[in-house]
Amino acid sequence: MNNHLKQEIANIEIPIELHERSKMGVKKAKDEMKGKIIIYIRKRLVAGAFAVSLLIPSGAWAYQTFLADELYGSYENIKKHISTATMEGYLLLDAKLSQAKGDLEKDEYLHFKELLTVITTSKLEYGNEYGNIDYSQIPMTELNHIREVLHKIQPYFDKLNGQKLSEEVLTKKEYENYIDALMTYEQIMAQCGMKNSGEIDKIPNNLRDDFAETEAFIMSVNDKQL
Amino acid sequence: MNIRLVKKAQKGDDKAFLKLFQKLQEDIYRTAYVYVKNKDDALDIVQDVAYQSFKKINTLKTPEYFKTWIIRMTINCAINVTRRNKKVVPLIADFENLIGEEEQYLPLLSVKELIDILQEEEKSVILLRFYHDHTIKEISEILDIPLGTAKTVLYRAINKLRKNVKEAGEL
Repeated sequence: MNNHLKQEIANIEIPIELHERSKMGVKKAKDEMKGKIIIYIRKRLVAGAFAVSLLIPSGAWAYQTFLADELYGSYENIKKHISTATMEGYLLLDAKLSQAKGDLEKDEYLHFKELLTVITTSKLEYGNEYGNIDYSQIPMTELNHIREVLHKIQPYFDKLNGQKLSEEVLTKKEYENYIDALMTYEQIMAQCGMKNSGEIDKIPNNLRDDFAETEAFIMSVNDKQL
Repeated sequence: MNIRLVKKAQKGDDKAFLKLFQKLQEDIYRTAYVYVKNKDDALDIVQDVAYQSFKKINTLKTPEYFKTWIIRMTINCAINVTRRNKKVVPLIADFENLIGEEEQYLPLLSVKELIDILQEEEKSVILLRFYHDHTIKEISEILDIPLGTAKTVLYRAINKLRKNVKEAGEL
């Protein structure tokens, strides 16, 4: 008799989306749990906020808040180099990376990760307390290497941002200028000790025009990508 | 049940957890379905149980009880959903036809009957007893009700189903 009930219940049809729904539940829990871990880490970090600028989300420099173990090695390492990090920034970037896992082919993802490691390593090596690099202060060979990596990684950022590839909407020359602009932008932020791009009052007069110009150019590229 | 996977999941390994959960998801869906009677709500429950159980897996002290723990959560979740859908408090069932400690014989019945005839508490007991193969004592622990109550509810449910079979036979 008991088997009869089992059989009857087994007749309840299983919808195809069942597994997907299980996954969604686990994912939601996972995302929220991550938030908790971050709060814990943040408490241990020096108080403060590193705001990831939402103004220009496509630049590689924004990835400096990416805190994953595999890239920075350990949280100890992050603490040494980047004293502040906001949950917002972390989650934003983490979301990008999880997106990366889904959106990119496996070999693309591996390539992306490899490039990203170069970026994060250089952030650790040369970045200031906010993770920004003053490119005028680093050795030429290193600078060229980073620039080359930025060239290669930008298409991935574009893809992850769901934008048209900057490489495609721009001419070759313009694309090079764009990468340079992203670097200049970061460099000015580093030189002025800016935490985020909103702190314009920290920029001395002689650099203000450069900063505004660079920003305008980056924005115009972003517009083209929409 | 893979204890190793449960322990991994308790450390936050979502892949290990999903592996465990995947083995149970059909049972969870079907259990939920018996309460809510429709696919959409049953799927919502599966998702919610996945969410809740992964979030709370740290609180599971005995990994061996993973399945029981999940099924209990499913039942609670399903009952909450039914109540929310109904917005009406169910009437307390009549006890008049209580049968004694006789052999636990479950009459032939369809899922539809099970769904339509029994009240939530009765469904829980019947499902746990005859679908998930728990003993009465285990059922009383899972549902957090006294042993006597579990027995009463079980017999009441069996009796209801029997009566229904009998009536159908008389037609």
